[in-house]
Amino acid sequence: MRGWLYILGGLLIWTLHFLGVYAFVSLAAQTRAADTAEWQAASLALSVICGLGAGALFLVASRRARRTSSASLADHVAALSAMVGGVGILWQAFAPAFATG
Amino acid sequence: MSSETGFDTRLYGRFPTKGPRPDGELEALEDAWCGPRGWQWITAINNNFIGVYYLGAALLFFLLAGALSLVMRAQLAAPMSELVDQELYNQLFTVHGTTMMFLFAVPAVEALGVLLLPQMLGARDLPFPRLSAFAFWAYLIGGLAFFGSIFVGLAPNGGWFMYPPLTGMTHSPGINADFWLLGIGFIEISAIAGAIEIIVGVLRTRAPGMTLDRMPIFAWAMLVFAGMIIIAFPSVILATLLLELERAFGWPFFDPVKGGDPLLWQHLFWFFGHPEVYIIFLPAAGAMSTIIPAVARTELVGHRLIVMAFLASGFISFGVWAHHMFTVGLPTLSVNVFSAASMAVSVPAGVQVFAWIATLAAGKMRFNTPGLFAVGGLVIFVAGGLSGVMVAMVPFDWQAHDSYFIVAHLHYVLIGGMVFPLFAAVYYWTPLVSTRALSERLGRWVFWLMFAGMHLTFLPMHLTGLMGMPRRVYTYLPDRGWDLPNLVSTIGAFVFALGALVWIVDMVRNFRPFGASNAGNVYGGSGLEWLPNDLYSVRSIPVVTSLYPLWDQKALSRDVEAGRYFLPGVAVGGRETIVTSVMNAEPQLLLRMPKPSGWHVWAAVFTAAFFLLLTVQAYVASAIFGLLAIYTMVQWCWLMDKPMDQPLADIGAGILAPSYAKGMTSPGWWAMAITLIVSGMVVLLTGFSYIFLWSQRPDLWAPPAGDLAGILALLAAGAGAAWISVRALEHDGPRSPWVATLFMALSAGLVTGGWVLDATGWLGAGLKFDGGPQGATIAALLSWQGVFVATGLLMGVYAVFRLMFGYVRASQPTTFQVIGLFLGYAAAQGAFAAALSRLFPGV
Repeated sequence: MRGWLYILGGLLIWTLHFLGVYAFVSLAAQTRAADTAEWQAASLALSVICGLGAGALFLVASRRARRTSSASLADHVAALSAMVGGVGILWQAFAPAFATG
Repeated sequence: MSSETGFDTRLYGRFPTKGPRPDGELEALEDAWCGPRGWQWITAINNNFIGVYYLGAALLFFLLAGALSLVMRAQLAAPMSELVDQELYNQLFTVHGTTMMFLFAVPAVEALGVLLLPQMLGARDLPFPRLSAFAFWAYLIGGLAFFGSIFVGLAPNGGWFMYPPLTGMTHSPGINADFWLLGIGFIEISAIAGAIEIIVGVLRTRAPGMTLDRMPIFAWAMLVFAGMIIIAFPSVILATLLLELERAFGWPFFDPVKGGDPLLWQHLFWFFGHPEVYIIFLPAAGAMSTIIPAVARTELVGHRLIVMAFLASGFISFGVWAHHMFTVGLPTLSVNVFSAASMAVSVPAGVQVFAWIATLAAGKMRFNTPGLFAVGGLVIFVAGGLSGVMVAMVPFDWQAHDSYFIVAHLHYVLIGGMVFPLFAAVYYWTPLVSTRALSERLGRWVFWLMFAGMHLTFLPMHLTGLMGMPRRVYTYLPDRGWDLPNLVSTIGAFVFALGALVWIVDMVRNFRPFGASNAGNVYGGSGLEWLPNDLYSVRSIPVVTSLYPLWDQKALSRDVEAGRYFLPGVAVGGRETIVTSVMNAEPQLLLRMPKPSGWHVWAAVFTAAFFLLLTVQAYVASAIFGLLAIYTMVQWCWLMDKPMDQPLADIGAGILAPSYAKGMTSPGWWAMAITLIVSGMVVLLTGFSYIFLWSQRPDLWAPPAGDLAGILALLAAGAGAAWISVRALEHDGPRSPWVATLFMALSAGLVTGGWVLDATGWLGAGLKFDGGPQGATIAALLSWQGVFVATGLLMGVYAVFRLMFGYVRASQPTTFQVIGLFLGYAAAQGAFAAALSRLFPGV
C-alpha cells in the first residue's frame, strides 16, 4: 500500500486539490462569505499547500531516481506523476484569477 | 532488490531446471485443462473460450450498431427525406449510441483483457474465471434483449445520455426509457464483475519476477482501465437507479416541480461519462503501445512516461465531467476550474502520442495491417484530440454545443482512440487464437476503406456543425448549405461499412479459433503471450527478468515448453495457477481454479430475467427469478473455500507454497474489498446528490428525526461482533466454530437493527419519500443499505449452514473473513448514511 501511495502521491494530491477547489467554487454560489478576503486566502492556501506537496514529492522521487544506478519504475513514475499533478494544480489555481480578472 | 514477502529471490536461480521431466506430467496438465464437449461449450470458463466469445459478441454489437447508423445516414442523405419517421430516428440514434458505448466499446476492451491477460502475465487463467464467464453471459443476454427492443418499437428514445426531464414519466411514458435504465444498470454490473477480475488478475497472478518494472504496458493500461470502472460506473448505476425510482415511485430526484433538479442527472451521468472516454481509450492505448514496438521492431520509447500518462489520465479524467455542462449555467468560477482540468488532461494524452511517434521514428516501421491500423488510429485520434481542446475552451463550446461539430469530434476521438486500435489488435493477436492469421491483402483493403470512409463521414460534419446543423434532428430543410456535406457524410458511412464487410469476409475465410495449435508469433511480438501455449496457457510459468522477455530471454520459449519453470504439471490436482505479490510478483500461493459448471450460466440467465421482467413491470415473476438468481449464486459460492489435503505444494524446483489462502493473500478477499469500493462510491455519490439537492432547495429540508446515537451504537456493535467472529475462528479452540458463527449471525442482526431504527426514525417523523428531495435521497440511502442488510442476513444464514455441514474451521477461515469484511463495511455504510442525513444541514 505504501508503494502505491508513493507512486500515486502526486495524483492523489491533485485529487485532493481538485476536490477542495470544487468545494470552494460550489460553496461560493451558496454563501456571501465567498466574497471575503479570508475565503479567498483559504482557497489560495489550499493551492499553495497542495502545490508545495506535489513539488516536495517530485524532489524526493527524482532524487531517489538519480541516486541508484537502475532507478525503479516506482521512483520515475512517482516523480512524473508529481510533476503532472503539480501542473494540474497550478493550472486550476489560476482558474479563479481568470474568472475575476 | 529487497523481498516484499520474505520469499528468497535467489531461488529463481533454480530455473530453468535440468534433466528430463517426469512421465505423464504434460498429460495430467492437458487432462485438467481439457476443452469442452457438447453443452460444455456453454459452461466453459477458460479464458481462451470466454475471451473469444466475449470479443465476438462485442464485435457483433459493433456491426449491429453500425447498421443502425447506416439507416440514419441514409435518412440524412437528402433534406426532407421520409425514409424513417421522427420517433424511429430518435430510437435509432439512442440505440446506436448506447450500443456502441455500453455494448461494444467497454465490453470489447474488457474482452481483450480477459482473452490476453492470462497469457501476457504468464498465468494459467485469471483468478475468477467463473466470474468472467458470468459477466459474459449476463452481458450477452442483457445486450441482446436491449438491442432487440428496437424491433418491437420499445427502444429508448432519449439519446444515449438520457437527460431528464425528457426521460421522466411526464415526457417519456411507457417502458422505453425503463429498458435503457434497467438494461444499462444490469450490463454495468457485468462490466464491474469483469473489472474485479482484471484488477485482481493483474495485481496477483503475474509470473514470478514480473515486477512492476517488467509488467507489460497492456497490463498497466488494463489495470488503470479496471480501476476507473470501479470508480466511474457506480455513478451511472446510481443515476439509472434514481431515475428508475423516480419513474416507478415518484421519488423526486430530477423533477423540479417537486424540488428535484435535472442537473443532478448531468452531474452523475458525466462523472461516469467523461471518464468512460478514457476507460475506452486506455486499453486501446495499451494495445497500441504493444503493437507499435512490435511493428516498428524496437522498444517502446518512454515506457515509464506512458505508465505515468495512463495513471494521470485515470485520475484527471475524473475532474472534467462538467465540461459537458458548460452551457447549463454553471457559475463562471466552476466553469473555469473544469476548463483548466480539461486542458490538463490533454497533457498525458499528448505524452502517449509523442511516445508512439518517437517509437515509430526510432524503429523500422513495417506497414502491415496492424501497423496501418495503429498509425491510422493515431492520426485520427490526434485530430479528435485537437477538436477536443477546441471544445474545452468555454466560448467555443457555447457555439459548438449540441451541433454536428460535437458529433464529428466524438467520432474522431472514439474511432481513432478505440476502433482503429481494436482492429489493429484483432489483426495483431488473431494468430494467437486462430490456426491461421488474417489476410494481409484483405486487411489492407479493410484499413483503407475504413480510413477513407471515416474521414469522408466525419470531416464534413465539422462544417455542418459550424454551419449550425444541430445533432439529433431526423431531417432538415433544403438550401441551408447542409445538403452537400450531409450527402458526402452518407457516402463515407457506406464506404466505411464496405470496409467492415470486407473484414467480415476476412474473418469468415481465415479465422479458425479453438484449434489444437495457433499461427504463432507472426508479427514478432516480445510478450509472454507469444510463448507456445495451449488451453492451460503456458506449459510452465516462467521467471521473468525483462520487460521484453521474448526479445531478451532467448531460450525462454524452449525452456517454458519443456516444462523447466514453475508449475510444469499439476501440483495438487485440478486447475491451478500461482498467486504472486503485488509489487515484486513473488510466489505466495498455489491457487486452485474452479472447474466448469452450469451455475454461473444459470445465475446470468436468472439475473437477466429478473431485470427484464422488472422492466415490463411483472413484479411477481421478477421476484421469483431474483430468488432463483440468489439460489444459483449461493450454490456457486458453496463450491468454493475448501482447503486441500496437502497444505503445501511443490510449485516447481522443490519450492513450496501454501495451497490455501487466508486474509489479504486470498484473491476472494480482494474481490470483496473491490466490490465494497464500488458500493462505497455509490453511497458517496448519493451523499453528493443529497447535498446538491439541498443546495438547490434548502427551504424544502425538514429537521432531522430519529435516534442517531442509538443507530450508531447498534452499527458499531454489529461491526464489533463481526470482528469478534473472525478472531474467534482464528483462535482455533474446540468451540471456535460455534462462537464464530454465533457472533457472525449476531452481527447480521445488529446491522439489520441499525437499519430498522434508521428507517423507523424517519417514517415516524412523517417524512414522505415522494414528498421532496430530502425524502427521496434518504429513501435512496435507506434502500441501498436495505440491499446490504438483506445480503448480510443471507450471509448470516449461509454461515449457519456452513457450520451445520462442518465447514467452519480455523483452517478454513476465508468465508468468515469475507463475510466479516462485508458486515463491517455495511455497518460503516449505514453509519455514514444515518449521520449525513441527520447532521447535514443541521437543525
